[in-house]
Amino acid sequence: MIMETENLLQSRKPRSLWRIAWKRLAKNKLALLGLGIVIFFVIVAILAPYITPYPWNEVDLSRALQPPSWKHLLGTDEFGRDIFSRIIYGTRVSLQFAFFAQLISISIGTILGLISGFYGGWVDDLIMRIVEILFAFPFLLFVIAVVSTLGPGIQNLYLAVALIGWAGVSRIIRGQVLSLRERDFVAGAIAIGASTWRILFRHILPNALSPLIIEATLGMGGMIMLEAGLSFLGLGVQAPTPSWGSMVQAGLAYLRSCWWYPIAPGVVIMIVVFGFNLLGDGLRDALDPRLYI
Amino acid sequence: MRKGFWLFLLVFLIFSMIGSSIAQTPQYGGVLKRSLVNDPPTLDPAMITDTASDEVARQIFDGLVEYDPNGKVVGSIAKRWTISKDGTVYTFYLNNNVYFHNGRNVTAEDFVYSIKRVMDPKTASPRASFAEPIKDVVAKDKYTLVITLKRPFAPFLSTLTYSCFWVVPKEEVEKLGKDFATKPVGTGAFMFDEWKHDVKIRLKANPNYFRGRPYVDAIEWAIIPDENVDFMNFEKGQLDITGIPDPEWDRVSNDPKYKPYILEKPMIGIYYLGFNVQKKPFDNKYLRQAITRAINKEGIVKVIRRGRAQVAYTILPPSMPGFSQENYNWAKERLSYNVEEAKKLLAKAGYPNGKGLPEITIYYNTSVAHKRIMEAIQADLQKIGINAKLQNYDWAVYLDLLDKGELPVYRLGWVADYIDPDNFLWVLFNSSNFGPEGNHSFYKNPKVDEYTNKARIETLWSVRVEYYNMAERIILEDCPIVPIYYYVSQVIHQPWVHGLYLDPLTGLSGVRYRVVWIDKK
Repeated sequence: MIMETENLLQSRKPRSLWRIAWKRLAKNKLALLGLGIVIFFVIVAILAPYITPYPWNEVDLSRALQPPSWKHLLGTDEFGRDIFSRIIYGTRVSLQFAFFAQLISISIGTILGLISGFYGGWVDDLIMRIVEILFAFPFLLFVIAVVSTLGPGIQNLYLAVALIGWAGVSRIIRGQVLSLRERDFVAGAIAIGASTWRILFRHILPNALSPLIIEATLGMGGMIMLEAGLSFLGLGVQAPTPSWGSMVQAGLAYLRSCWWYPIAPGVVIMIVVFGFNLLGDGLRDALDPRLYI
Repeated sequence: MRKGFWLFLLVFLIFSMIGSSIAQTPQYGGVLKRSLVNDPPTLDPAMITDTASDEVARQIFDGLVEYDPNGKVVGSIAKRWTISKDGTVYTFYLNNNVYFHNGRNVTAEDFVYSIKRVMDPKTASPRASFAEPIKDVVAKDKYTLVITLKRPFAPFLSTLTYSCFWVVPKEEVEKLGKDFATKPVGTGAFMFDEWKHDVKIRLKANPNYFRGRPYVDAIEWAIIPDENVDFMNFEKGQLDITGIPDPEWDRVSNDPKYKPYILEKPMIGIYYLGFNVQKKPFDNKYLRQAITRAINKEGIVKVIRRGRAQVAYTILPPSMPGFSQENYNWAKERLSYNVEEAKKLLAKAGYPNGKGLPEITIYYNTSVAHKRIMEAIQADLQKIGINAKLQNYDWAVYLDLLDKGELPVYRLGWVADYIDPDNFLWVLFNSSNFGPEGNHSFYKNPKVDEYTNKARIETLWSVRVEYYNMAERIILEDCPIVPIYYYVSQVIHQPWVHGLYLDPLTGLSGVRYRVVWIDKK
């Protein structure tokens, strides 16, 4: 009997958290749609230089403000640049910003969250008070203030995100650490004399990855909106580099005569953010530990 | 029944005639609604250098003389004047019924104070150079003013129309100090009422104005930096007079609803890209020439400006007396858009295909209209291998940086302060006018200095024109600025606005609204 049971257990395939999550995600049609959108735009961003029908900065005033046609799928802007090509290239600009901005805020937030949650005491107090102060600032206004002070441009946008964007992540990670540090496997690691960094990064962090992934995915949409918003205000990506936000802003003046010009980049922003949000929601459902059997 | 019909027709005709005559008779009342792209930096006449400030202050202040709508110098507070035979003594006889908004009668002493204030280095008037030819100014009696010049200065009467010579009350200037710039007191048809910075400025009618009270009760300028928002406000009827954004021009100018209410007039002004020629690498003439030849002005005017301006090759606009067709043709042939020639000049400057030239920054004051033009220039420069980035500042900050010479490449517009080539060639390019005085390129050429100085004291018009033409040719070759286009003023007003005209110098910003009336309260 016992032998049989052992055989039975051995014959069962291990069900890892990730496998379960993927299975759940695969069942969620909306999440798959989001994933499809994200993958599509990532491919577009990577292949941008190869798939744009025209160079993104090719100015030809003689073909300015042309309506959509087979030659120019989304028409041309006031400088005769192909709007379709600029949107494709803008994908690279937007996704690149969103990815690196998220990387920066998640890296800083994760480290500070781990330290805060694990050490507790005055370190925790200090970091959490800073987080509270940062939460008291309206995020967009803070970024505008930083960019206005230091000058517009993508580098200063990164800096602004690095200064304030980590607060939410650090609070999530801290919450995770607070519950994980009481678990047996952490106690075990401490007992066998593992170093603090090893405990944090080998034992605690992998178990806190789920909320981090959800936060990273949902935050991508926010970062894309942030970049588009600031570029719309003239504080983000600078001309002539195409950014969806600055394209909407430039096209807005032509809304009554060439409506497709501001609408096209606006629709693309909407689709991409929608894609990231669907995927993020799907991941949240898929990675929810309360649903594990 | 038939009798009744004829009676009805008669009454109808009488009422129609009364109605149409009411529409044509100027009416009093109402608030005229205008807009400005930016908050005026100052309303103190001694400190004004920009059109936004000028438009508002022009309603509050008066000078000795002014331009009429045809560009002729006519009396304002001075009812008449005489000029001595040698052209050095100007005697002005003032109206005795002019009062400041504080109720005090204006006398010749007030002009003595106002003019000496501009001349006083302590005032630091950026237009002190306009008073440079003045040797002395005295009040001969209560209403007679005598201005003596150091030497004959041909355009002197014209320069007196400029804002820095408007009369200000000594007691208010001394009482308010720096606040005089934000709470001005003048003699004009409108009195200062309210200024919410970056929101709106309101002036109210002066009931005691010496030429009769203006028609409207008040004027309100809303500060609207975005041209599209501005035009949307006009379309909603919330603005009475405004400009038309380039992107809307084709639609609006072809719309029968708007067409009858569009006014158009060439201005005496140029839109240009300037260099600070003392800053590296723009101290290199060939680099400046390369940039000049790389800019597709025709494209900018035709496509970006929707054909609403005239491509410029010279410094003096065609409507300025002394304009040289010869210089125009010369510049058109040698300095017009030509990518190949621009590349050759760039190589001659020591930067073949742009190699070795660091990225340059083109500065402009915040405005989507300027941004469009700067982006077109940026793309043109890219074609010859010059990498440029764009940087914008709000108007007041921008002017300050420009005055300090901190902007190596900048956009600017210059509209005539007075109708004389001196206002362009001496003010903008004589080395005695560095910075706020007008020479933002910090350009110095001994020959240009000599010709423009000589032209100032020469009284014979034909000789003066010769000096100016020679000076202009040298400036064009040195390229301290790249003329892009000559301004044409195009404004639109609501059907209920009457009496509006465009100033021949500055278009809408030179209008005195005391003659404008509205038939919608």
